Amino acid sequence: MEQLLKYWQEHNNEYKFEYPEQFDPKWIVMESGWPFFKLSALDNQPWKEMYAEAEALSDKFHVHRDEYGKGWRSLTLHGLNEDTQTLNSYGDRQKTIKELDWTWVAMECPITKKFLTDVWPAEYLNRVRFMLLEPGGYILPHQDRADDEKRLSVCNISLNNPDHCEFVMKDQGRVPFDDNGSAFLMDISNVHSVWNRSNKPRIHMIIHYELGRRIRDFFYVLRQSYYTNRG
Amino acid sequence: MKDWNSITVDRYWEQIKVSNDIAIGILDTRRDIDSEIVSKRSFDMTYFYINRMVKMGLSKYVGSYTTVQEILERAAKENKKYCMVAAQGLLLYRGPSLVTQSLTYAEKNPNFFVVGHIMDKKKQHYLTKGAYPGLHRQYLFVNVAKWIELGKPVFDEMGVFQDRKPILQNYEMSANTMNSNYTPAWIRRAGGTTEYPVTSDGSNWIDIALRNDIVIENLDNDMRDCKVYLYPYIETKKLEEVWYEKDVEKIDQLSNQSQKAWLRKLQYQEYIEKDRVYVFNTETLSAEGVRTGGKTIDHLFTAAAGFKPLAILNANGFSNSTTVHYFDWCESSLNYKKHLIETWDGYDLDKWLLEHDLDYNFSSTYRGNYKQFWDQEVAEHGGSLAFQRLWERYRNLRHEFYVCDIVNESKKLFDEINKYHGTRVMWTTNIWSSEMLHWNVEPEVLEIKWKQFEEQIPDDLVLYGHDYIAVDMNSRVRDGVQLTHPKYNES
Repeated sequence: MEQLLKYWQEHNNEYKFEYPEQFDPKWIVMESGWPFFKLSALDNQPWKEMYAEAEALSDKFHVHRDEYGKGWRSLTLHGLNEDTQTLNSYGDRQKTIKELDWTWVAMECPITKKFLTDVWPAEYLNRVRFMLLEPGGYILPHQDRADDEKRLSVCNISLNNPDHCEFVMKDQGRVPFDDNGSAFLMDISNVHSVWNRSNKPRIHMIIHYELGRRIRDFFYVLRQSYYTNRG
Repeated sequence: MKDWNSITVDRYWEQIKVSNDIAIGILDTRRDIDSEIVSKRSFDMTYFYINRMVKMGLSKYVGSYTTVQEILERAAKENKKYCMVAAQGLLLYRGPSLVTQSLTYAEKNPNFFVVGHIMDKKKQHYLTKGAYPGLHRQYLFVNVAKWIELGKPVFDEMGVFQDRKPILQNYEMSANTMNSNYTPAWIRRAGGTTEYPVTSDGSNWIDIALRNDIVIENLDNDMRDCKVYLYPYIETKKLEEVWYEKDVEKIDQLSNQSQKAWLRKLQYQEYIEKDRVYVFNTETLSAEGVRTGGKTIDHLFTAAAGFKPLAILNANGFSNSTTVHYFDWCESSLNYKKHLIETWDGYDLDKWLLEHDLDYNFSSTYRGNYKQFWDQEVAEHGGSLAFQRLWERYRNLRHEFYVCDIVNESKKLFDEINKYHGTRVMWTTNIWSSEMLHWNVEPEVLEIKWKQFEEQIPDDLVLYGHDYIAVDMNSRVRDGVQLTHPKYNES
């Protein structure tokens, strides 16, 4: 706890964005150095309904990475099975990719699945999971990608995010997830940590994807979000 | 020789004897355009030029869709052999010429699949670095039967891949390029395949064509000269700023050369249009035929352009008591008419024009070609003597002149018309369907203004000219051909 408290004292700040005049999607994703980017264009998605679908399955979640966290659980909608780990852990990645499919979880969550098939702007889905962090739970500071692989990549969607539950990136600041639902692209080469100091479980959805031929759809969402965020 | 600025039905066209085998659709790219104004107006103007081709009987408009395959499906449903796909923002200002060239190409290359802008920007473009070549989506000319034979492939958009890189046919490209060093003249099959992490728009069409031993050719320079693409998704806000207010300094700040050149052209056109004089007509002189039912014309209300008023008088018949009422928003055009009637004897107009060349801003089409145009005019009027006799009768008529903008001051025109009785004829040329008007005023606004104009047309007024979408006014008003334009928000 001391480690977390110290980390929170040092890094739980507001991140200040500086927006260039011209929208440039490649710059935003690859070169901006931004630790996260809110996809405001998705603000009106049915996050509450999706939260309800996930919450209804809360007793089905699997313990996740208990070696550096507490109360962290996951349930896979799209992957190899309902408890899919990082894809590189299964050997031949190409073979693994070909085996990816919807799990029974997606069948139980039609609104969420519809969002992923009809709205989410990528041609392919890799692993998509609900991530639940119990009250009092935490994920210790860690990074999922090397320092030299800085870019915005995975999408982290808060289906809820109660007060006093915070996602903090080292040297960058707090990701302003919304309890009513919000989607962010994340640069997970930053050290990050989550601590749920509320009395409610927090459920997010993390999407790993491959843009494929929907790159212009993705740019559209990015551009709409950019101008909304910039104000 | 051609005045591309104002043609709807052009008298100077070579005889275009082509069957109506081409469907044409607009590729809706509004998702990528960061300005409602530019998006809508580029859609409007793309349709404007397509409409000309449709009205000339050269093609069939099949609608606006967000995917190429939807347009091709519509073309197939219409049993068209070929399909032009024009992205919104493509201005086919010499579309009829592109039609004839494309049909000639199709005849010589019956096995072709598509003609398009082959793009090999793997070195230049930061988004498509290392990409397989593609086809720019601004314009595609597709052999519909071949598309069906190849399995109706969708036209892929550009893509980036990490785990699912497509394996594509190796290719060979021409050493010679069109326009830029990233636009090869052709691309054809080479042995083997390669995995690509980045693809371009239409990469899959190239792959499919090459796998089937079909060569894809780029547009040649003559084809390129028939159109302009506004790239409405590039520097969109700057384009929006100069769309209506064509400030030269702001136009020069556009970094896209295509946008800059087109806006400069429009800016200059708008500038000279203010006192531009049309000595000759760009539309056919007498295609509409006799419309007064055998009665001689008592009053002709006419735009002050060319000799078409004489052709109308001559075709329908007139008497010594006939009055010609000229209206025009351009006072110079009226002054020219007065001057010509007062001083010209009906012979060798080219010489009169050269003598007065500095007094008027004659249409740039004709300057330097006076003799050539005059010879054609005389020939169409039945020879020099016939024209001179007609001119002598005509110049002795009573002439009235009114400065009047009939689009915005239609009441003024009809108040004048309603003062007179007898057989009354009106000719408005292509005022309602002209390029500058449509660039500056949305078709929805023009439609309202047109309807206000139309409501005031007296029942017995004989009509020549076009409505706002280039439908013959007589057909619209008397025969009920009440067409409208495609609405951007309904497409």
